[in-house]
Amino acid sequence: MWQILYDSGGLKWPAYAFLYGMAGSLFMALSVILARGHNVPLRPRRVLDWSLGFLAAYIILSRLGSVLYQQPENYIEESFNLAAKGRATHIAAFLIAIIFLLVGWKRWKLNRLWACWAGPFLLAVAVGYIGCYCYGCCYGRPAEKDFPLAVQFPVIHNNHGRVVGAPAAVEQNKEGLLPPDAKHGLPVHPTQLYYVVLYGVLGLFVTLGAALRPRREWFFAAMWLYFLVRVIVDPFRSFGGDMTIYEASPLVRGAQFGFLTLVGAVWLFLKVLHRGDITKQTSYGT
Amino acid sequence: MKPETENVAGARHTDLLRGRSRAAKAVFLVAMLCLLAGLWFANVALVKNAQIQLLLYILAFYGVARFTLRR
Repeated sequence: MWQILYDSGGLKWPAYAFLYGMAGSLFMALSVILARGHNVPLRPRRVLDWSLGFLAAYIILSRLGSVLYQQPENYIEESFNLAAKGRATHIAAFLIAIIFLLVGWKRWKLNRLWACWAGPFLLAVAVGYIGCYCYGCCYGRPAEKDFPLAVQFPVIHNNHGRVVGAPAAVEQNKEGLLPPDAKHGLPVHPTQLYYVVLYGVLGLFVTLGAALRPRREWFFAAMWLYFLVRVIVDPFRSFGGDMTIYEASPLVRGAQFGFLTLVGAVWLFLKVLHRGDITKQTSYGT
Repeated sequence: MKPETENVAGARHTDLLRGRSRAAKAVFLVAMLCLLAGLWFANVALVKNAQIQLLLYILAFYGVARFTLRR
């Protein structure tokens, strides 16, 4: 993970970690605020604890998932490397998740908390992708000629003349797509901004919907929407140079629809299992 | 005695800022912004690993929020 993208006028801009930190904080803060409105039968500081636990689990699963997504053949080796190379966030997140699991195993009163997490989860993902845009990762494939939304990421040369900085520019340089004196990368689809807009709008809708009818199915709806947006936007995303992620990994599309089916099935199962409106129930949880 | 709220589980809770004056809330806000700015500059100057930076931001928010949400 790089920390600096835009070196504008000497100002170092560690946007990636900052915006992901803000995304996590936004998630926890919104969860606490919504939990109060939804009458979650937990103290606000317990809601905060559970939200941190959820965040930790999300970080672990998304990072391991991204390894699976990009390099399924190296999954075992890369999973080991994630832990072995001192990736502090994952190790800390892993420990936090285990502690929360042990503490909360028999006190699962979180039905309404699922509804509180749904909207903030999508909104936090949207904020996180602003970080991706600032950093220059998760970039799109080269855009068609005169595509009005296309963006170019900066090419930065270090003291040894090597191209560093935004992964978009580094990858395009590695593929030999850029001339040696290029100041900018090729114009590409701003996939990060597609994510920001879609997740932001959907996050607002889900937050509003879950506020009107606080049911935990909202959380599974949010998960489903998360994958749906990936399916819509990922064909515009690059996987090194001008190769799309699907050309690089033909397994990916199948895996995504597999995920969608799985999440949809779990959602339907829980819906059938849990009939009725939880706002009318007197006992919380199982 | 600070005002408390009772939720549906019967748990009474309050938070640090409830019932405080507007000036006290402003002081708290400024202190938090200073903390954020300090964390930003400390991260840029000292912490080179973006993952540890991310961890510090999240844990700093969690610590402050947990301190603020009193029982």
